[in-house]
Amino acid sequence: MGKTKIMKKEQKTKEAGKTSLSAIFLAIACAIATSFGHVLFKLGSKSASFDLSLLTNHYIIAGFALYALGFLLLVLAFKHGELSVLYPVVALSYIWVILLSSLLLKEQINAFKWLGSIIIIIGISLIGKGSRK
Amino acid sequence: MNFTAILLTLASTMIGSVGTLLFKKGSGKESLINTSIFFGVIMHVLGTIIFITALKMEQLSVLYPVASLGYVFVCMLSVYFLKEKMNSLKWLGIMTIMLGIVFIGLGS
Repeated sequence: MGKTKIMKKEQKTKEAGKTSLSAIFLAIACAIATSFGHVLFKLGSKSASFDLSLLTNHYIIAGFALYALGFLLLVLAFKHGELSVLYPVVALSYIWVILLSSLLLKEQINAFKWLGSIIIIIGISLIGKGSRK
Repeated sequence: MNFTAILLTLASTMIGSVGTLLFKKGSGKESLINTSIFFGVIMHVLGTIIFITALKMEQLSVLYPVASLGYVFVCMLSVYFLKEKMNSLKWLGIMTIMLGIVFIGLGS
């Protein structure tokens, strides 16, 4: 019975906003992948210089790989989803980056940074909603 | 707060936004392998390298929110170049993002 309910809900969402559940999951995966990519860039930036040595920097290479993955996931997500729904999901990457920055990079996170991130997510969601045709 | 890092991040974001617009332009063509997509990738790679340089000088949790201005740039660029329409929700979103960045600045 649960399955039929989910299928019906997905159909409804498909008709109404043309954004499927799979698109949302893809967008979440994209946000996580790119967030880890950013952290890897930060880790790699310490030893990075503006020359070809970037190509041998493992952190940077891994970061670019995750960026590429995130990009692919994003393209797939937008095939089956609208900006107005997916933008907020992708914007949640701001939460991921704050979390990962404090956990993996030991950066100081305070109430202002949390609040600022939440406000940014709201702003991005508004732009997404405003992009509704 | 390292202002050089912030300026670099702004530059990187603007370049990336141009790249995103090129992607949009290139997505409408018959084949996804075209000059718009190619230059879009170049822009994003260039923007990323500049961002990495900025990350040498400042925290990720400070610079990443600055990168959120990319949403604002893309919005404005698509209105100007792709003739997309502006509306009050988008304006509100832009102002809200900027408010969020101010908070991040206060927190660093």
